[in-house]
Amino acid sequence: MSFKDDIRSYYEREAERVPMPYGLRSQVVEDVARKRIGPRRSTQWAAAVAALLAVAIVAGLLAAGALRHRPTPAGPLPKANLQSPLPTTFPSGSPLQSGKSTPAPLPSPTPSSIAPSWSVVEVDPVDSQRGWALLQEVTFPPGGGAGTPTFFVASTSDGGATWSSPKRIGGLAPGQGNSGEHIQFVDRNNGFVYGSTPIFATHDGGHTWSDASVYEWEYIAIAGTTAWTWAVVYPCAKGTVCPYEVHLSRDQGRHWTQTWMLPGGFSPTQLIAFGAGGLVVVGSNTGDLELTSDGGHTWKTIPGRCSANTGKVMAATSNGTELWETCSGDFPDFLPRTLYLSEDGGVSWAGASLPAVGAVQTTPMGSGLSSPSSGEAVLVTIATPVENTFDAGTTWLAVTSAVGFDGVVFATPRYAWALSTDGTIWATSDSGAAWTPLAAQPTTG
Amino acid sequence: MPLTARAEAPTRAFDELIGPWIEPGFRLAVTMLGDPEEARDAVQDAALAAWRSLHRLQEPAHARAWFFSIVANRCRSIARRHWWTRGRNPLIAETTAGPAESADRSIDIERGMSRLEPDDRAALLLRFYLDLTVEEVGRALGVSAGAARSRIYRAAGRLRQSLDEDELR
Repeated sequence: MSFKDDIRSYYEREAERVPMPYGLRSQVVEDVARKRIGPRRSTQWAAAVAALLAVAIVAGLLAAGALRHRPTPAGPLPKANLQSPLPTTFPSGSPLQSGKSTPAPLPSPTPSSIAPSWSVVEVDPVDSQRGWALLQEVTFPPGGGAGTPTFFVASTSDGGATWSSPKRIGGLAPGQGNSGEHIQFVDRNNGFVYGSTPIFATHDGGHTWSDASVYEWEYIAIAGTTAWTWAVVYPCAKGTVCPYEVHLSRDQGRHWTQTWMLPGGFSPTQLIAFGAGGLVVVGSNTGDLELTSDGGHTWKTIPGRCSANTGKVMAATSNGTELWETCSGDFPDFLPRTLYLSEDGGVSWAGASLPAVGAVQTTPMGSGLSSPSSGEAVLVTIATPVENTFDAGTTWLAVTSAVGFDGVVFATPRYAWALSTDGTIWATSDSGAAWTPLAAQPTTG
Repeated sequence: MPLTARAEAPTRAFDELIGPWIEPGFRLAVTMLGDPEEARDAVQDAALAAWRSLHRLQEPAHARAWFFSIVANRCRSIARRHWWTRGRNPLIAETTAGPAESADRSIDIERGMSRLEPDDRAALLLRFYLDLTVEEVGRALGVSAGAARSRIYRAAGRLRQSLDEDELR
């Protein structure tokens, strides 16, 4: 049974468990015709009773002296009026919550009779000695049932020989499943964990983390360096259509400035920072690219090489002039099938060879493409070993015996990590020519 | 019949235009809210809102996605009132008896789905159960087609990650 069939079967079972109320359509249309307003009488009464009970309980507690003033705990920023136009720069009165102490740890999840399971969500090497892993721990209640994810970070400062104990990010409550998708450090001290909302930041090398959310924006990707930290955000509430925006920070994410509003319909999936002030924003669908080389003052739109139905686009560059772009098959295929290379910043493109990656895979999965230097690239997919090229795609060489990787990240032109599908971090210190697993892994110490 | 006339037409015309989407809209509301009673209220409210704003429907062929967008917005409003249940789907079912392997996989899907946000579950339902095109999913969720595709991809990716974790237990 395919993954799509699994999803379909799930909803069919849900339909059996929650059958359609008899005559729903006719009743709804009839109600509309009579112009009934508000919820049905039964829920109105339930809401009224609940409100009366709440008032009674609060009154009783106040009388007993149980409620006293407590310091307001640190928490998310007050939400802005999302209907008002977004400012180009953030008002001075609303910087990101840097310096705020980490909120008091939340109570531990209810002890479970089933041992928690760890998984590595994403990794980010900072240099050849230091790197980070975003971990997810899922705890299941006794007797079965849905698990609850909690997110932690772990770090190494000796090239993976040892790892810190996983540290729970304060304020990232159990069940906030969308928040722990990505980890990105721009240098040894400044990093982010984000997914949907909220976004968490550290400015002291991971000792403390604080909620750095701005309004209810969704952070799609963050990339860059100490001096040039980029983010692409969806700056509107869910259900509101608006263009994505590129924001720039010159102080490692403490303050952001909007630098570019992406074209309408452009759906960003990836950021690639290069040089000083350079950025490529990769879009889905046809793989259009938005590129700046001057810190966001000017932007160039580069039409992509993929078809409108492409499942997944990947791009890479080391200098903003040599651009790599892979296109998968038509959606829902997600494996890279074709490779294009430009030597002139996207003015012209030429096809290049790509290792065979196997049959169509209709389940979304990880894959990665990275170019540490001109003419060089590393490709990983869930179906192949690590493959690299040192001659601009003319020849590719499989360089690991292990097969199946979710992503590859270069910290320097020579040092990178690749995350295998079993959660093992592999490292290279020669631009991808040879790979070995780290001596220790974040989930085992 | 011109849209203006349809907006003032009797109940039958409204039923012809929106009626076919009320039951699928209920399915969407159940997926987003996890509560059949609230889902029914959401669909009822959405139908009334659709009646009142029928003049905004530019193209009758888009009625399905348009109505689903109203249902989704209504569900989000209801969910915001019930923030303490955010992210949890109370409809965690027991899988009916079947072959051991399919039962295990069904349990994994149930668990994975319960961890998804309501909008992610909605995207998967719209695309893979109600068979909307990606463009229609975008209209229903109030985003561009590209953003809808990304959302479907990410939602399925999160589900897949959950499945892989369950398989490793």
